[in-house]
Amino acid sequence: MNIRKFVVMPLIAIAVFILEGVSSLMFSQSFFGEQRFFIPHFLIVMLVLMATFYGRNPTLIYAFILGMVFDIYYTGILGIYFAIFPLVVYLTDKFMKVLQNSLILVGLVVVFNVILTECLVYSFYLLIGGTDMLFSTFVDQRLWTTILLNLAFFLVVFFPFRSFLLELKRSDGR
Amino acid sequence: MPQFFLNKRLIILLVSIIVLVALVGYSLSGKSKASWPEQFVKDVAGFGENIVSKPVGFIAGFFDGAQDLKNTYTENEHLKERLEELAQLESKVADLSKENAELKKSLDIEADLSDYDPINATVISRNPDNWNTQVQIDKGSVDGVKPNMAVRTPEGMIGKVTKTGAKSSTVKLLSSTDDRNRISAIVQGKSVAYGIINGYDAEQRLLEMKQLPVDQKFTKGEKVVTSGLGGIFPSDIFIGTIEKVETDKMGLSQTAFLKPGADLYDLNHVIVLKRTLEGDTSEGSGS
Repeated sequence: MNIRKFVVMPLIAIAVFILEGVSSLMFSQSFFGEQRFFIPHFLIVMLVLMATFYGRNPTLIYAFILGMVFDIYYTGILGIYFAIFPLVVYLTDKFMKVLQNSLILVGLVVVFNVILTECLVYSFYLLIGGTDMLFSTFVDQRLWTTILLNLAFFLVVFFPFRSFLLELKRSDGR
Repeated sequence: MPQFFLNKRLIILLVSIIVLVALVGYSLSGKSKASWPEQFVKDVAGFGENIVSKPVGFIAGFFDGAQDLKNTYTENEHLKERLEELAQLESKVADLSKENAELKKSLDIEADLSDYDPINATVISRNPDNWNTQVQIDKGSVDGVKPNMAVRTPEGMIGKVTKTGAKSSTVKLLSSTDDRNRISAIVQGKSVAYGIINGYDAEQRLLEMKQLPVDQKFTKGEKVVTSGLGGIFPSDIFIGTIEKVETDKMGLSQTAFLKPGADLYDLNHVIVLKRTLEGDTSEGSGS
């Protein structure tokens, strides 16, 4: 029985999932209350790191399950994050075939994925009439602040999470 | 051509797109009853979130309390002054409510639109992507919460219950820009006017109250409450105060912009209102 694989990793995923909801409740005044929005996409950061240092296929399973639960529990519209999370993992895997996994390059991939996610979700809500925000307003009030927040989270978790994932991979025998 | 159908990746892509569109269509159909897989996920996730959210909320509350200690003295002075007025008001309210009850009894009225049973609940999490703003509360169908019930804080109305699990439910806030979010409301000005609250101006953070009569004058600061005429919400729940009024595009009605009474970005304890008087229980989304 591999404790890291079957206990610690799912627990980390659950913790990050809960962290997103609880932190956006606790800091809702500072995240959404001012003119600018800081959207936590901590799960995206986690999935990018997992796809980079652990492997594509197990990460895809995490992405599917987390995406489904995220849709049912938080957004209430099934299918958005259910599609985006696996897409993020797939793209990250493709990127990492040609890029080095250093802090700066993985950070750039995180930024790319956060921008991709935000734009896809924005265009989705625009399509179904859930918002009437202009694209310029969206970039000014939401996008770049969201990038900053998630980049900060990425910098905090990068080194500890990388060493954990590398050990997980070693104990997995791959 | 057979080559085309043998392309595994393409087929997977097409099938997944069809599945996604079906899922999105299903969830936009506006059903208020959650299917059992949804219920299951909601209950499990709600349970986990409850365990984490309660202690975190407690610690955050402790620090807020420590912050409050600093201006206790001035607040106390101010409150003492108000206390004298309060005693007078209290006796008056007691008088009036007694009189009201007697009059109702003599007229054989049992319950009216403004009566409700409160269910106290705690907010456990908030939707992280701020598009359709909704929060999760820790009371569900076991505690008697049902879809379409109104939710308020002591300061005013914040939204309505959309989906319920066993021990958690989803509350859609007034600030979500959803066309199906409609509330019948009254302006309590010099003369009463009816309108419908529908829409939210995200940039100015004001609620939009539409279909007000064009020939009436509204002033800033007039109060808006629910009317209870939609058949689902109780009446007389405070929603907000008028900030400004504009004539709409066609010139046939006016739109008022309301400042919500409750702070939609600082939610902790909320009250779910169960209307005593049974209304239209059919699955309507307008309220």
